[in-house]
Amino acid sequence: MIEIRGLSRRYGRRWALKGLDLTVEAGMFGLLGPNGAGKTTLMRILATLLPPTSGDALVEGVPLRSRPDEIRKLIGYLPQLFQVYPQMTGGEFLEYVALMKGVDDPRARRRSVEEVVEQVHLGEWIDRKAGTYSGGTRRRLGIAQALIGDPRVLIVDEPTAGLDPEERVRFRNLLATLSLRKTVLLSTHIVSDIESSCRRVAVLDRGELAMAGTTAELADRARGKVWEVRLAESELPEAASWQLVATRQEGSEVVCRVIAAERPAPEAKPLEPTLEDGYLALLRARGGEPA
Amino acid sequence: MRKWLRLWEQECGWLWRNPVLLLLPPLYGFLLFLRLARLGPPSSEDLYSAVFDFHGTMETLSLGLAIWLGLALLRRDVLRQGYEWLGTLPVSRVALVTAKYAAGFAYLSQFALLAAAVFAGFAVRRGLPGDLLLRHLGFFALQDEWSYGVTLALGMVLALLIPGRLAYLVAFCAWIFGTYFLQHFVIARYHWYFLDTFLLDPLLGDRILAIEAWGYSLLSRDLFLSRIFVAAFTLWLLACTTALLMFRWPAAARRKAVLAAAAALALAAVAYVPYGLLWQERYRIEASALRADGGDPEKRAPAVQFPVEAYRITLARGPNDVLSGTAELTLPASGLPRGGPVTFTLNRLLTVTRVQVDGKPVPWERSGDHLFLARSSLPARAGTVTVRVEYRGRLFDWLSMPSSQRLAAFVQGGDVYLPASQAWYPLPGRFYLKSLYPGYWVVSTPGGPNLPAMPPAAFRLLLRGFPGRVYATVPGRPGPGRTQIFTADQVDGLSLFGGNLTEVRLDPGGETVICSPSNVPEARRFVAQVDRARRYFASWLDAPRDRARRVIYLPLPPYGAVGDYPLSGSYGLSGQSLLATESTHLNLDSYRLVDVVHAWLFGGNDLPGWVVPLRGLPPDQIPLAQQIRRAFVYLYLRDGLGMAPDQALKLAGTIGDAVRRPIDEALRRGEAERVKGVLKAFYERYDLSRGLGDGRSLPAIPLQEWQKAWEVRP
Repeated sequence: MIEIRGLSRRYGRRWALKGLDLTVEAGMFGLLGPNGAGKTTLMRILATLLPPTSGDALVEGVPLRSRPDEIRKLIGYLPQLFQVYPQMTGGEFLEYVALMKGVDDPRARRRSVEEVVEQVHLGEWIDRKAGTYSGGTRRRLGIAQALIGDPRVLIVDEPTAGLDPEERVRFRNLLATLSLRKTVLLSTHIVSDIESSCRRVAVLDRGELAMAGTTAELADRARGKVWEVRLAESELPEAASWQLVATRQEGSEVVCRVIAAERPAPEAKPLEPTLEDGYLALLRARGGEPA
Repeated sequence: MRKWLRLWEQECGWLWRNPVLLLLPPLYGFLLFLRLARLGPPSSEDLYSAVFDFHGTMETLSLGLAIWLGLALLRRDVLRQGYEWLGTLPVSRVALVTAKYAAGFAYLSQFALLAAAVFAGFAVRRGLPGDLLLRHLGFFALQDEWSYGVTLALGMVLALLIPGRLAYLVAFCAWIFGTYFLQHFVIARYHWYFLDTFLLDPLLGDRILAIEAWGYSLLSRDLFLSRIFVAAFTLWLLACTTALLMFRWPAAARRKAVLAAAAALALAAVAYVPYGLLWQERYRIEASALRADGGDPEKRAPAVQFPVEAYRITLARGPNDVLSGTAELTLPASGLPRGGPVTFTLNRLLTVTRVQVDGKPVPWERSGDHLFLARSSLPARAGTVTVRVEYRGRLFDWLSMPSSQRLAAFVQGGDVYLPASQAWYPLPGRFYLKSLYPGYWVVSTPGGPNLPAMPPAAFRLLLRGFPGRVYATVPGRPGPGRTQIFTADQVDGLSLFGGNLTEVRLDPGGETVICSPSNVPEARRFVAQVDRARRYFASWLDAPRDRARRVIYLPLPPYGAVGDYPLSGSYGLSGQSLLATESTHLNLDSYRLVDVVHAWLFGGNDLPGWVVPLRGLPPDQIPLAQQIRRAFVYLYLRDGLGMAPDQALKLAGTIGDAVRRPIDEALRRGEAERVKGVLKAFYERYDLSRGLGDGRSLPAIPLQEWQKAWEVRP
């Protein structure tokens, strides 16, 4: 569990985070927000890479500001951009990380490495140099290093960015499995990643907490505001002023999914809101532009 | 510890798997190998000096790599966004920094190790004594490691201090500043030698450390104190690196790290104090030279001198290198100056404690390098007067000049450099030992206006309390109870040399070369050449036997200061020795052989390259006597060594056609004995063997006489 209390971070005159209060309970917790919302800043603070300007956080009851070294023993972290020493094989790298995480016994270390390799399906790559890995394989290695030592809290920043759909699904499932016995904080701007695996979510916007709650509550933010409008192709320019969520072609018509506080057109039909709708509606209501 | 070792192993893996980095240490060793393999005639074969010069230049370049490595070790992961996971591992920042530092240091140590291995290989082949080799290796290795250590730490702190790639530019500037710029534009320009310890490579340009005879032994205290400071400074840089890393990645011990950095800075400051005091003392010594006579040659009273018949000197070295001397001068009363005080010159660092004239104490006055006795203290009668001067003091006569500190004279442990020209015993007359030119000191050259050539006198010197063997410009022998005795008649002065020196002689009565051990192979070859020349002349010429019996071969101009730049034409006679300076191209080569032969046969400093008034003159303006002298050498080179005429002429010096042609013709006819006969006749008739000192005062020999001598057929 992570308890964040009044956490702020300033870069020069710009506040990247402003007085954030948030509780991340055990299980998978999604962190959504547009670019520049402060997600990565928050993740780096929680991963003990960045000192907060003010406020504090308790990670599994350990205060972040005064005992960052202890927190490092509790967390696994996968940064947004993950690189690894190219001359090392995956196996060597994981052994190295395991030792750094205090797995001193060589047999225990080997077992620990085998377990995470199995979990992330890295078996066939484990003896190859990390410099030869594809983006997806490298991210799997990244999550493997985060998992080594069985941390109680997993912090993953944009883990599916750049992965192909199959990899993404596999990754989401892996995180979902891990969240059964850990606190997993997943930061992303891909709503579907959260929709499919998180029960609770928080939305950051311009350094502030825009909303925290269940995914259903976030989706509910758009209840009564999601419409389906069918337009002739020639009428499509009229839709430019609407907040379009999606469009698809059906015969000669274009079917638009629109978020609007009021019925955008007489023939518009109300729709059941999705998480993405809720997220977009929330940001629109705050006057921001979703990413 | 296991974590630290794994971190270290990880860093080493990066360093040792990089093909470029892997190649550089062997390349460094190979370059030294090439440098040492090329040592040989006609250039100097001073192994130590060659290794020193290599360290001065190539190691300075390798320090560029060291500073880059300091940056790269941190920039390759700690400062890269993709490696942020490293900061979340439960690893102490101290462990991370020290593991990187240790790995970089281990890598750089390869340079020192390979240089040592190459040096050792050549040293063993050249027969350098094992204990001396170990001392040399220890000196170079320590110096290398210290330089690499501090430079690497500097690179690491800059990596964290300077954002982005700008760090590389700043590190490059730091490297240039810490090597060349600080040396040439700060220390040299302002004579701020107390900043020497901040040089990343102190071997670059240091002229005293470059001397095997004294070098690191003489400056052992400098080196010791400097190394303590540099170690503390390095510790401070590492503490700063750790603290900066803790600011980059939060750590509970951040405050402690800041305190540790502050403590390390305080430690470095404290460590500098004894080093600074060392320099304060030296600047005080130099300032005393200024007070001695103002140093301005323009404002001085002219030098005056009077003859001495004999010196009896006892010099004892006591604790802390304090010298106690007693000099008894027998003076012909008739030669003493009339009116005004009688002035002696004695180095200002030696304090006079008592003066007696004919056994009775007399008052004296001291001002700088001068000792004044009232004229009334000396009897006005015929015969001789005995003046006995007792003095004591520590002689470490330090001077500065652009780019190099210098020592005009010193006694420190077994290291001894006491040239007569620096008045370690009372010189008869008012002389000026040093002159201050704008910006630097010049040590007076014997024979010049400030220090005229001393009239010959008999010397007896007893040395006591010197731990090692001391060599002099005259022969010596061990005396009772670990004393050394030196005696000579009719010599112009007595200079002493002690330190890492050795005596090279092949035959019991043959030529001797006194040099540092690295020059022994070259000295052996040279001694053999001189012995051969002596045998050649001994078979037909009755030349003086005691002249130039020894060559003192050290990297200092004759009578100059230790640390002086080598000057061209730097050789001269003193006592029964030829002082020959040593540098890469001023060494024991054929030119020096000619000098020795010339000095032996004719005496004085009128050696072929030495006679300034005669240098570059057309043959018809060179006195015939001088040309005939050169003809002796020319004959030896051609007949004794079988050299070609052009080569022999180049070595012997200009000889006009009128003198040379009959010699060439006779030699062509195989009549070498006839040439010997003619030359011998002139040698004896005109007493060419006397040391005249100046080519212009040579005996006048009519050309007709020379021509007539060749008309007589054997």
